Amino acid sequence: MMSAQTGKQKNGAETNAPLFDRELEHLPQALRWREWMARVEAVIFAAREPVTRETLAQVVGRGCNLDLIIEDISAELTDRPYELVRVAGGWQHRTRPSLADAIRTAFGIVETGESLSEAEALVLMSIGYFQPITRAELSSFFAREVSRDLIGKLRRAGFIASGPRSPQPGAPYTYVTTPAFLAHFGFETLRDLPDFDMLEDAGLLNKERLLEDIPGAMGRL
Amino acid sequence: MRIPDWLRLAIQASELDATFAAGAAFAVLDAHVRETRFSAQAWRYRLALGAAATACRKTGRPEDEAALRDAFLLTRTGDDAGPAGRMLLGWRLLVSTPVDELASEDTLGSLIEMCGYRLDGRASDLGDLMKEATGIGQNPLAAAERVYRSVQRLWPEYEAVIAPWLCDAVVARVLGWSRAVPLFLIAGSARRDRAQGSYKPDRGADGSMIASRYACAALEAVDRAILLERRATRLLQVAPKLRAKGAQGIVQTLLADDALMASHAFSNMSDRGLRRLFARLVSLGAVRELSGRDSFRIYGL
Repeated sequence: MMSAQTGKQKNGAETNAPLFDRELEHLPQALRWREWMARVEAVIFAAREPVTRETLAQVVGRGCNLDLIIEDISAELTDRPYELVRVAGGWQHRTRPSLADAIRTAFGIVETGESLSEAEALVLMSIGYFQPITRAELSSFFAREVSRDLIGKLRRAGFIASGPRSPQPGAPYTYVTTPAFLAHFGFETLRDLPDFDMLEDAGLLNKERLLEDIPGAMGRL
Repeated sequence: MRIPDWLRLAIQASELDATFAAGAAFAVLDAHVRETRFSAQAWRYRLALGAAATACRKTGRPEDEAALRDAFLLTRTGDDAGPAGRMLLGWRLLVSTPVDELASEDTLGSLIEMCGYRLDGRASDLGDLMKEATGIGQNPLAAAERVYRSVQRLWPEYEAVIAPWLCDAVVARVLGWSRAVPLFLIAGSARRDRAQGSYKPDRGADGSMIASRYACAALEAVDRAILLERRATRLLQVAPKLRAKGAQGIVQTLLADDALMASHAFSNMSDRGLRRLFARLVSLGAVRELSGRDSFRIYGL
């Protein structure tokens, strides 16, 4: 079967990618399904970033329902210490949150590069809600200086990036969150940030209004 | 070609059957789209700005047109325009992409991500939906209606922003335009949505919701087209008087987009030369300063 396909491919001038059997029509239905499950899980396992539906669709048959595949994989993982999680528009393997302490203990403080202090996490979440926002605006939110170092750390961790420049003297950069921010905290879109709708209904997503009304509003947090 | 007074009055008073009103207004709009126009792209991009501002409001973002324009013009290549700036990019995509390619998976995938929604492999489904809707005949309202209702039923989270974009795309397709015109979100919606607070999906509304939206939008779009074309004509009248090197390129840019910054990188002109050129254009009444600021000024028709 393999060699026959290879031969065909050599003759056919129109294909230059190696032939990959997505449909698996020679297999009985149950085996076919198992193979698709295995492929999908393998791709997610091997990837460093969340894997999108588009990527996964390339390794299963055209008529295959990916949601059902994912559901079946998840069901098999119920007793395992890791699970499939939807983040940032794709799927990823994650160890279960209850095991976080064990992992931290085993690796000592390996995660320092990404682990954030409470203040840093608060600044990061504020950027998430009020982006694009400058360091000066963040500082007046918190009624104390948000340092360049703190911004630098969030940037190095890949959670924030430069946004549009602000039309103020010196044209300071604003900061915006990245897809890596969403992935790390397990959000799919910005609208999934906790209480986003509540803040929106209360008119609190408007940073100008917030800064005018209650400078240092976040200072006590 | 103006909107006839009887039609304007009837649309404003909601006196006519909505479908009839939309049809009449589309006929006038279609004439404007087809005449060769100096300001055709500037007009479309400005409508896209209005649509993006409405989209922000519907999704609870605080940015207005001025803030969106800033986000777009002040983002350097390679930087991220932020959630609101990306919303504007999504609406500009409607205008910058040839109508034939609007239903492609690439275009729709970019749109969904720019507007801040999950992709979930729906780009190709949306494309199929559009192709199906434009295949049913020559009625732009029926096509828009079909797309809107399908999105509402299948992916309700797309209703506020993506569905209007798709409707504008299929309307352009059915009417045989080469570039789409943002319409769905520009019509009087500002007032109505503000009065209602945050966006409520019009789930129960019948087909006349879409027809009356398009009737109002076509009216508004024609008015703006007439205004911008008058300004473009003025700009082209004074253009021969501009002796600064590179001035003609800037005139062309002004006609081709909503606005540009005085500090915009034009290789062959100094910042000072640019500022003087814009000051001259403003004093000649050919362009307007749009930001209202003393620095980071933005100019457009």
